[in-house]
Amino acid sequence: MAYGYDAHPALRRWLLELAADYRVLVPAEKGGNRIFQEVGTTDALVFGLAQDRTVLPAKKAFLPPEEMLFEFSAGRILPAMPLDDTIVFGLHVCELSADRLLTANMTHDRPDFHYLVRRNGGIIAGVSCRRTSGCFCEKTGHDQIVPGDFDLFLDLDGCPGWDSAGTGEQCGGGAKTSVAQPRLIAGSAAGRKLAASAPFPLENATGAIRAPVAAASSKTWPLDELPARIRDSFGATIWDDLAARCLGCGNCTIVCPLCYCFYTRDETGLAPETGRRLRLWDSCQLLAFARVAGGHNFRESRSERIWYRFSHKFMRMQETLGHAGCSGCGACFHFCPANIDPQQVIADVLEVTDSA
Amino acid sequence: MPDKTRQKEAPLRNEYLPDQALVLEVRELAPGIHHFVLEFVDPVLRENFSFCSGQFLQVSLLGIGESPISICSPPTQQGSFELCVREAGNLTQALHRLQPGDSLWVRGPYGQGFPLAEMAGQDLIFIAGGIGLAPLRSAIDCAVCLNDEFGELTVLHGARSPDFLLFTDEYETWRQSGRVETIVDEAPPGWRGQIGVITALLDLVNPAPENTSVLICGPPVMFRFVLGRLKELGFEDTRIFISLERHMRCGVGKCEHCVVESFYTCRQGPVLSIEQIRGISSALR
Repeated sequence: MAYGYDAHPALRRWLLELAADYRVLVPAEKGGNRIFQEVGTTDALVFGLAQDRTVLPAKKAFLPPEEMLFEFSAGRILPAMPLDDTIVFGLHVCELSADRLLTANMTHDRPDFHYLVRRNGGIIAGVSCRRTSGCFCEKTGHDQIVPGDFDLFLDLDGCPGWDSAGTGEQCGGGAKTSVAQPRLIAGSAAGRKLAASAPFPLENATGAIRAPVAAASSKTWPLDELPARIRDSFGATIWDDLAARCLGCGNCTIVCPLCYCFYTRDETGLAPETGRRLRLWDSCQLLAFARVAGGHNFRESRSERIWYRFSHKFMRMQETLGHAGCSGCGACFHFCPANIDPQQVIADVLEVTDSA
Repeated sequence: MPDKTRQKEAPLRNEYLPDQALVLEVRELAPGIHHFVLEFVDPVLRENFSFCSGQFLQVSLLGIGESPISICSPPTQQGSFELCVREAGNLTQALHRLQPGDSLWVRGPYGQGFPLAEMAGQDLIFIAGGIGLAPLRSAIDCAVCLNDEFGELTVLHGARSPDFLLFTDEYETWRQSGRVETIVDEAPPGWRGQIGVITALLDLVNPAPENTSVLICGPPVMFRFVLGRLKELGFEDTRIFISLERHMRCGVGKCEHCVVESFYTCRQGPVLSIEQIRGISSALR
């Protein structure tokens, strides 16, 4: 059974109270989909559905699908100031872990101003998960978080209406509470402050919070080995086989919590001297991604574009940031019209590079 | 109110805001190729702007868009900088309509340029195909300007036809520091210069690899043949530097368009040694 406002009306009151000072996004139902929406616009907040993933990941709170970099008028530039007052409430452990890695990526080397203004000013609050079908966070190392990775965590384990019997595992910060009501775990000073008015008992985080354990058949991946394996697999026929199935639609990158590439576009009004420069989510799976003016395309083949995506996640991000750029949420698989399963792709990579 | 205690202490730099530059001069170097002399409107920036030969700027026109373009003037030039632009897309077509007094917008410089300081005391060979002479011209002029720091300079420039040979009025100056050879794919009757491919110029000058660095920029199709010939001549991969072109949006390693295997062309490139890209088949296409 799912858990939501029905089970605990006080949660709704508290979130609405926070919405007076913040933009509060919560995962809520809309048109049959689960979408991060502003708390004041929805009454359908719900946690713990069997299909418990949102269409767009929480990254949209800090890296909007479309944002203005600056406005211009009569030869003058007016910088856009990103808002820094967002609370995202209701992230699973894998999503919190992805947020940490995305933020590390945006801070690495040359920091990204717009993302970091939003993220540094934002608050993220997690919630227990029941494992969504097709997810595999334990394989990619995104199955636990520590204080600092989150500001607050709503532990629902043991609550009436929260059925964890499906896995028989708890998802929480410590020993199972005997009190059959949610508890909040604070992972930062900012989180503690917000929780002061919360209708739940508050505890300080004492250690890692883990995602519920997967089925026994699940096997972890050799993440340290994967960069070399992926590199060795360049040009292997597995990528051609995937290219034959892939529609090149770019869904996988749009729904991925750890994809962040973008393009820029200038827009003008009726008067061409007035307008704005935007940046918008892009996708490395689209044909024109690596095409330069004049027409030369540095990544013309679909099989190379697919290899490129997996190499970014399991080779480059692993090598530069020490973590795989895949949270294991399974969203790319769930939303893929060709049913391409990253678990199978990595299994294939491991197989074809096994003799090496 | 939002809790500000988590804000980073160091001020974040907004990389995406360009600076305004004015067109001082513009001339058509070849059909569809324009050469711009520019200066920053901001006097502090005009004074302090510094870069390395081979670095690029993100150049834009407001309302049109932004593209990476290499600087073609030497870092030794004070007060102004130059760009050489081939008409290829929306932005470059719009750039070609600019007149003296008009403005464009730039941010940068970005990327790694040619490591000229490490080449002090060496002979330099510049191999340029077409518009590839633009970033090399920055390095050539720099080496000419600092003549005593380098050995002999050799400039090899190939183009589609004689009309497309670039910076021809500067060859005499360059020749005072070395040698300039040109070759074209095809030429009208009466052309007295060389006709053929650029590797023919390497055969002509037959350079010795000792104490020599090679700087290359041109279309990808040129790389394989030039690099093959240089290898036969005995040049080591650590002494050959190549400037790569890629689609770029940010210039700071965030937009992901310019990635080649495990490096960002905008951060670790655009200039890389052949040693750095060894084994990466997608780099030289």
